[in-house]
Formats: sequence, C-alpha cells, structure tokens
Amino acid sequence: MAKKIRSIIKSILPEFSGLSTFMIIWYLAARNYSAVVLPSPIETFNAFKYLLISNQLLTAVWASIFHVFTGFTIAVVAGTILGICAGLIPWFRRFIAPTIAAFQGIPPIGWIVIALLWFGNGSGTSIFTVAVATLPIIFISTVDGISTTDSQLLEMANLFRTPKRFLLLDIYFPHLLSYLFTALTTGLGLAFRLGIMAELLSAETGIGAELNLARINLETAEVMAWICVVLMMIIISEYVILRPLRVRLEPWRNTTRKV
Amino acid sequence: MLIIKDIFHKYERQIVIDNISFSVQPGEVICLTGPSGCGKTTLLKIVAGLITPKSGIVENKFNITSYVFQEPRLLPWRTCLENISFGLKVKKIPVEKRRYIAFNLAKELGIAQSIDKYPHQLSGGMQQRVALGRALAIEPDFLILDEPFSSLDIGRRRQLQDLILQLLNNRNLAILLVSHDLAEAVRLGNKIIILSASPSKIVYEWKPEAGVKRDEAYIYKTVSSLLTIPQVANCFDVNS
Repeated sequence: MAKKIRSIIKSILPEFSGLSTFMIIWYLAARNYSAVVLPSPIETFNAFKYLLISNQLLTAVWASIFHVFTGFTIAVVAGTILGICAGLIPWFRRFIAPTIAAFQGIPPIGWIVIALLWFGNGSGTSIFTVAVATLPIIFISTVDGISTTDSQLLEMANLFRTPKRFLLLDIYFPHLLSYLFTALTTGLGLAFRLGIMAELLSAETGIGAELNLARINLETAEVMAWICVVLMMIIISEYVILRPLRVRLEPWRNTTRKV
Repeated sequence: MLIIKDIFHKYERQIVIDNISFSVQPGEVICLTGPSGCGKTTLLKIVAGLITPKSGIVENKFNITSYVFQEPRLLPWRTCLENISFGLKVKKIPVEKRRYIAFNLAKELGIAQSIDKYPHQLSGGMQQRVALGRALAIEPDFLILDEPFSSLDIGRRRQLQDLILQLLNNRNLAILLVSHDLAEAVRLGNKIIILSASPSKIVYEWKPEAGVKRDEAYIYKTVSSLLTIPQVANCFDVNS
C-alpha cells in the first residue's frame, strides 16, 4: 500500500511540484498585502471551509451544475444533430455554415446581454448563454468528424449493401466519437466559464451569483474560494465524467499492439 | 456467371479501358494481370457496380458477390470477430449465429486465437485474413479480389495463396483476382488475362494444361515462358 502511494506520488511529482511552487509564490505575495487585496491560500481555504459548513457551497454548486449541464446538453444534442446533417448533406452544410460561423463570432458577452433582455434575472439567461456559445464548437467538430470518415470503409460497406441507418451507427458514429470527445472537453470548459459569467450578471443562484455577492461585500477570500471551486469542478468533470466515458465508449483505444 | 462484354471507359478524355470482354463461370478462377496502373482496379469496380462504364455490358448472374480490397479496410473500433461478421450483421442475422459462423471461419483462416483483438493489434497478413473472412462470411458464390496480397512479404503471400486454394476446395466459389504478380496469377488462375497499360486492352490469354501440378518449378517456367511472348513482354516493359 505504502509502496503504491509512493509510486503514485512519484508519477505526479512534476505537476505536484509545479502547483506547490505556485502556492508558495501566492503565499509569499499575500504576506505583503491585506486580505482584501490578496488573501493568502490559508485565508482562502478558511473561506472555503466556511462556505462548505454554511451550506452555501453545495447550493451554489448544484445551481451552477444545473445551468451549465442543461445548457451544454442542449448544445451537444442540437450541435451533433445539425452537424451530422451538415456533414452528410453538402447543401445543408452550406445552408447552415454561415449562421453557425456568425454565432461563433458573436462575443459571449453579447449573448449574455441578449439573454438578459429575453430571460431576465434567472436560470434561463445562463442556460441560454451556455447553449448558444458552445453549440458552434460541437457543430464544427461533428461536421469535421462526419466528413473525415474513411471513404474506403464507406466503399466497403456499400458493397455489402449496408443501409444508411447502419452506416451511421457502425461507421460514421464511432469515427465521430473521437472528434466529439475533444470538442466535449473544450466545450465543457467553456460552458463552465460562460455559465458562471452569465450567473454573475443575471442569476440569484449559482457560483456566479455568489461571486458577485462576495465582490459586493469585499470578501476577497470568498471570491478566491469560489474561483477554486470552479476550477475543481472543471477538473472533476473532465476526469470523473469525460475520461471514464471515453474509456467505456471507445474500448479499442486502450489496447496496444501486440503481435 | 459473370459476363463482361465490350467494356469501354474513360475519365474525362483519357481512355482507361478499351473494349474488354471476358466471362467468369461458376467455380472458375480468373486472374486479370498487367502492369501497375493499367486500369485493373477500375475494371473491378465496374464489375462490382461501383463504377458505371461509358459503354458495354456487365451481367452478374452470381447470387452473392463479395469483395476483398488491396487494403484490409477493417473497422478499427470492432474486434476481428465483429469485423468478420460485418456482412452478416447487415443481413440482420442474429448475434449468436453470427458469432458461430464468424468463429468457424476464423478457425479455417487460422486466426481463431486473435478473434477478440482489434485490427491495429494484428499484423498486415492477419488483417488481410480477417478481411477475407468478412468477404466469405456472407457465403458468396463469386469473390472479387483486388490485389489482396500485394502489401505482404513473399512468405505471407504464399500462405494466403495456399489458403485461397484450400478455401476453393471447400466451396463452390468463382474468383476474379487482380494481381500485377504473374507468378501469383499462374499459381491460382484457371485462366489468365493479361492487360496492357493505358488504355487497358486484352493482349494475351493463357490457360494451364489440364491436370498439371502447379509446383514452384512449373510456375517459374510458365512465368518466364509467358514473358518471352512479345505482346506480354511489351506490356510489362521487360524486353529492354
């Protein structure tokens, strides 16, 4: 057991020492400033503990998860469906591509303002912002995934008179998955950042709203604590949700070549 | 049977196939051979219905036609067993039966120990065996082989050629094989059709004497005697 722990520590040593150095610099820098300007890691941790005990943390985290994941799910479903259609039907691709490009070009803050006008203060604003801002990412990788499907495999399948539905499930989709996973990782990071930004400006609940409150009260340590919470959420969602999902959906990637 | 009559095809202005006719009878192995880039693959694609020729008749009266490509073209996300049963899955054969058929084929092809591996875990020769298995799983009576062994070394190639001959014994299978390797054609073919390069034309046809045993000596002798025929030597550019 001890040996195992030691080997784990050894394997993450570069990352661990990098983060520790950063913490030390933060700690040293914080000694020269008041807690309102730059709270130390310890003060941040205390603020985190307080938020956790007072139950503010979990409530806000759940609210943010709800906003981010609802919005992102809408983006993934819509983006994939539109992307598959655009990848398979060139006419539709040309039809929809300019709109998607325009969507991607609109700065997220623009979306937030529009959403505020439409949905007012509430969950709707952050869900909408997340959905429209991440949709282009999912759409573009889906189109890429579909259009880079190996034409030799498609030719082979055609000789077996494979029906369209079967082609989609057995050839296009497995190929698409690898593209989609990259998009999901970048998309989810963006979804968190934007969702929380939208909350800051609109919602009464969620991490963004709590950040805003902490700012008004000049609770800089709490602001830091919330930022750390967001970072942890992004890391957890990648390592706890996306990576295991990939291992499960693409078992063939985990095998090495042995002859 | 397959009847190919007066096939003519061109890409834009370049004529690639000029007036080719031949037929494949049930149980027969026909080898199309010729220099690289002489339009053999185009001709096969015409036979398979992937390309419609500019003129000529393609009449395929075989019940089930199957195709093996130059590359294995396996699905990387499926195991060998699943790859072999691809055509069966398309035909909606129940999974148990599919596995049974595929496993028996894998045994016959000598890949039974690798059925649960993914294609990238196998060597090129093994992958080509899986591709052959996939083509045979749907029980074709006509098999089209497009230089299936060209990327393999001589030992692997020999093994697969022997495998083809063995498979022929167990089935009533007609084969149309494309190869640029004359020795391979002589080893496997009941009839060899030699094509010239662009545009592709039949320059020579050869049949082995009935009942002759095609051992190495016979194959080398035949290949070298074929190459002394002026039309054949010309089309392979070996006379200089």
